[in-house]
Amino acid sequence: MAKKIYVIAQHDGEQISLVTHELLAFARQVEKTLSFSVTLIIMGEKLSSLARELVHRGVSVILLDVPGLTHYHGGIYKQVLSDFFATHEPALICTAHTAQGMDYSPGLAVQLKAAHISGVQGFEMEDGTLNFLRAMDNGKQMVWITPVTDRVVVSVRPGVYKPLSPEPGAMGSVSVLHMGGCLDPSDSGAGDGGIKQIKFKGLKQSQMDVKGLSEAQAIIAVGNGIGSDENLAMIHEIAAFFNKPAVGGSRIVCDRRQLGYGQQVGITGSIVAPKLYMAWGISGSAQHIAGMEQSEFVVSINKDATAPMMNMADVCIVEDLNQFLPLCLASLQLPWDKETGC
Amino acid sequence: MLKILVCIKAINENQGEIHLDETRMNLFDGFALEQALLFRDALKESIVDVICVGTENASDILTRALGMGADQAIHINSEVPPLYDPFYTASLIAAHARHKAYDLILTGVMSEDLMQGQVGPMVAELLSIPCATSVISAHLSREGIDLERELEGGARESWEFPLPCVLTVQSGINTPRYPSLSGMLKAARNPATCIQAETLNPPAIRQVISRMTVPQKKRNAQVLDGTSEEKALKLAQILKEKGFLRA
Repeated sequence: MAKKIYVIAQHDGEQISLVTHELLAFARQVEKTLSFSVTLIIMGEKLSSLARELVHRGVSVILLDVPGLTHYHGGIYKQVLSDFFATHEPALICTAHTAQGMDYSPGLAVQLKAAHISGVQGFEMEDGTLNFLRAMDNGKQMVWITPVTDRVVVSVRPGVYKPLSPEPGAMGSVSVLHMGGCLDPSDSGAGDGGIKQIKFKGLKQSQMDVKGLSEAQAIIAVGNGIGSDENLAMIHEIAAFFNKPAVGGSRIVCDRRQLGYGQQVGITGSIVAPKLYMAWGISGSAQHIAGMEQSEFVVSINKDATAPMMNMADVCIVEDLNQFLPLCLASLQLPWDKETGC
Repeated sequence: MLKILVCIKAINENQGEIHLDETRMNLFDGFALEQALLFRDALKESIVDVICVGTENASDILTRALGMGADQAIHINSEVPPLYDPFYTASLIAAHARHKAYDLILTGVMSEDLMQGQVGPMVAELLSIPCATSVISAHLSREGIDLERELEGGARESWEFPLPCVLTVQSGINTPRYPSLSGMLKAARNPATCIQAETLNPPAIRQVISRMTVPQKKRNAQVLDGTSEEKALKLAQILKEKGFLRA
């Protein structure tokens, strides 16, 4: 049985998530190194039209048709995938390092007796083995990890690989496997590690206008260093000077209820790519940087010159926010002709 | 009553270049422990155990957990923890928990230092019980637990989970309490039980670190100098020239 690279698609039943195309791009690069072919797996109910969209990426697609699986369900994902891999030998399985991927991927690796490396942002071939790159210590260090198992599951960090675009004339294939209705979540029964008693009750979109962040040209973002609500009020005043602005922040600011979770930038928040990203008092954890590193121009203001965000910035300012915020606001309020002298 | 296990991790407190021996509790695990204590507050006679896999340094955070109100602390002493193999850590926790009939196992959504988010889901799989990750709200119900998982952009999924199960807890779900004086005194009388990792039949390592590097600078940064006022003016000038400001 030929070993393969498998990519597990992320989708919401109506659309393929962008990260799926990033996973394909990652897998294609590994394919060139390993010469194992790439197969994309998409699972759910009534997904044949979504599966057909993917053949234009030139990969072979396997649709795992699971009656009753109308929404992501971690227990079912793990069960169906581990059944599938009982007869399909994977060399490498690629999942998305997202709220969904991080939910089922480590458990799947346990079932498959595979190593699991999460948040992967690169790979290399060394002495016949693949090493995978990821961040640690809040982005202050990078590590190369070598799996010592035959099978490996990696969750690939969103925003690192450029999405694989459709190739003109490329035609993959779709094959359908019916995975049986025994997993129907509405059929409550015992066993299966409690899968059947796990019930999905609904999805609630964020109260905040997430589009505000994704459509903004200038994101004025705040982190742990922002401090008081007075400082945050000044941030809003500063934001008003920009074209199409939005105020965002790191998770800790949302945890403090200074911003809503819909304003969080990062892997567990929004992934943004504005023309300007101004990071006020944001140290720059790997999970935050993943959310903003595609910004065109980055300004980092922090009293800690060694903050990882400084490595991401086009303009670095080492200052205490309490002093610098009023000065910045005052400078923006100056008429332009008075500034030219400085 | 519920029997709850909370898995906590010790984070090395590094300040810049200075590496200290001091450790603190992983931020996310603090939220998990608080959630367990809230469940115990709601359901009298419930028990909250905490467990930590780590070197001797782990004892400080276990004392803190006892001070916050945990009933019993278990330290799985692994002198040379395989830093990067979450399967190893998860296997030791599962080996301890397997015959203890815990109704609920809680841990943080990830650790602050490694940010892998794997130990919780792996413990669940090893014990063949369900797992919900990134939990931002959780309430006991007649059937089990009603919970919300946080997705990207602040969206939330609602789920009903049976017991026993594993939940990995997101930050912001509650406000972790401080250790109390009476709790710390109790912790001094009733310290953590120490179990040597080797006695738990640890598994073969699945992954190793081949090398570490420092992240490369992604951009050619211009570092503004001068007085604070000069920096503020220079910044305004750059923002204006780049066309970011409203006309």
